[in-house]
Amino acid sequence: MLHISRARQAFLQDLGRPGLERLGIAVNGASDQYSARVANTLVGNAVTAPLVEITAGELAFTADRPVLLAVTGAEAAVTVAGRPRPQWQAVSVDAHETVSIRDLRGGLRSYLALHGALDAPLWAGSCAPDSLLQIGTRLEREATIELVSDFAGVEHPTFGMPLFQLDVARPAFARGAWTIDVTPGIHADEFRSPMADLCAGTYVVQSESNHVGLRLDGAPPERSAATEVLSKGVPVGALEVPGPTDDLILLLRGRLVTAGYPVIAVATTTAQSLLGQARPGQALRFRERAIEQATHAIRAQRAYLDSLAQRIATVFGELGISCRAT
Amino acid sequence: MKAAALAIGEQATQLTPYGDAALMVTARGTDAEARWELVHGLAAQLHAHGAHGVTNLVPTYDCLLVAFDPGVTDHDAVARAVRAAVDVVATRGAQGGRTFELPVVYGGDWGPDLQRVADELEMTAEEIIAAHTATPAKVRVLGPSGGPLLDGPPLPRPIKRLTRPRVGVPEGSVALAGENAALYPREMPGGWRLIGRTPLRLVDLDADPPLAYAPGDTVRFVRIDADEWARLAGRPLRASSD
Repeated sequence: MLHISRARQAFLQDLGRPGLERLGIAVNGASDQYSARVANTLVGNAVTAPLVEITAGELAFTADRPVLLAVTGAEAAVTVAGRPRPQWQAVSVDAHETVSIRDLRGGLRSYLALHGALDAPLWAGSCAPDSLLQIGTRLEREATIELVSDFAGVEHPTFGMPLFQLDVARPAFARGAWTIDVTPGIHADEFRSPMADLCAGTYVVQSESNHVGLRLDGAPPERSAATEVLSKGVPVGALEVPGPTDDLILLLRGRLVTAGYPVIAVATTTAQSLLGQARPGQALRFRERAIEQATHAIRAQRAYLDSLAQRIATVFGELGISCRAT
Repeated sequence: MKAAALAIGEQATQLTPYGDAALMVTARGTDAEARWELVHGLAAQLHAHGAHGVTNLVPTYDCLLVAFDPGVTDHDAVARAVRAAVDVVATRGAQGGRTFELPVVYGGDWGPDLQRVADELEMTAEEIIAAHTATPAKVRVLGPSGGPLLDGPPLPRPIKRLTRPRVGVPEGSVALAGENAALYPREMPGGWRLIGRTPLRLVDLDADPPLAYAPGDTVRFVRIDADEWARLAGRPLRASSD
């Protein structure tokens, strides 16, 4: 059982709810899918297991039993019983020690995974919040949440050291503009020089942005044709140009599944994880990629996650910790 | 399905990569009804039989968005699955549609745009209501949160959208725009013109499927008085005939 002592903008989350967009119900799920996958992998869970997504907020809790946890995503001040602990590593926590995650910076969202199964209410097989359907579990102060885990704690060879050290690839939340890879959208040919215009500009994330989409202030590429677009399905990552004087809109996982604005480009699957970390005020620059390059990038990332899961399974096997990561 | 109106197989559709994780299938041909039937038939076929790595299907008027996990499949493999499904769908018969009766309170706070829409069309509000209730409307597309887009009633001109969309359109709102009609199953932003509101619940998260209606079904709008609202409020929508 976890006892929550402080919570702000913390929700139960997972990789999303695929299969229902034919009914108009968006996939949703962790805005930074890479960080969410790594967090669960590091604690030996399946990547689809429920975890906690903290969006520019904070969380503190104690457990009445030992827990094994990992915090990924945005940089944060992570402490256990007041002592700093690393992110992007599995961390063993004794019963009744207070875990605190706060002061998120660099990115927007941190992910907390706990070895075992969090008792998350599911709808259609997923606990992912859906703001339109008004479903999801927000963690509240003084709430409790069940955690089923056979993790019994480990003897620290050296007090205060992490359980084991793995060098995990983490996103660089660079100072200055972030580079976002895109492939051409299906209406790119309605623009005079779509990719050149788009890649020449700098676009700034506006405050009216969320998991549904980012509003981007910057020069909209010039349209050469202005045919009215009939409502059509739009993929996650679609970059819409509503008009010559309007903000661009980059659709994220909670998007409305159909839209009628021209789509000039689509953020690659790997770039979408980074977009899920963009705060208001963050500058973005777009870089054109061929679809083959984008596919190669996501395949390489998945292969890396698979190899990480293998390493975790090996280490956990030696330590006698159960593992569902592979 | 009007098989005769369709070219079979590859000629019937155009397949376009749409980012690294989706394929857009666009139906070809001059008959809008046949294009709509093809993309919805394709979605039903791909949903029923599955295709490796396909994560979502979004059929609309003449397009089908096929989203997939690029970690496990690619555009070529998904395109092959789509083409195989096109061959099956193009030879299948028409899908049967059910009818739903939807009680609606028109005008006033329930449909705050009704009078202005009537003024724009140089009609009376009563004439708009009469047209809306006299014409059963076919569900064409399931939009955000399962909100159906339907054929609009016969009116002299298309209806303009609001230039400033509302931040929160109330749940159950019945709306018109262009030559179409729409229902809002949940409170959400929207720029369509609101002519009325239904007390029935359109999406039931405890039911499987959560939507009672599907593309191809027909909705008959039935006018009710505001004092009937409380009696019907929150009841789930059910088909009145199969």
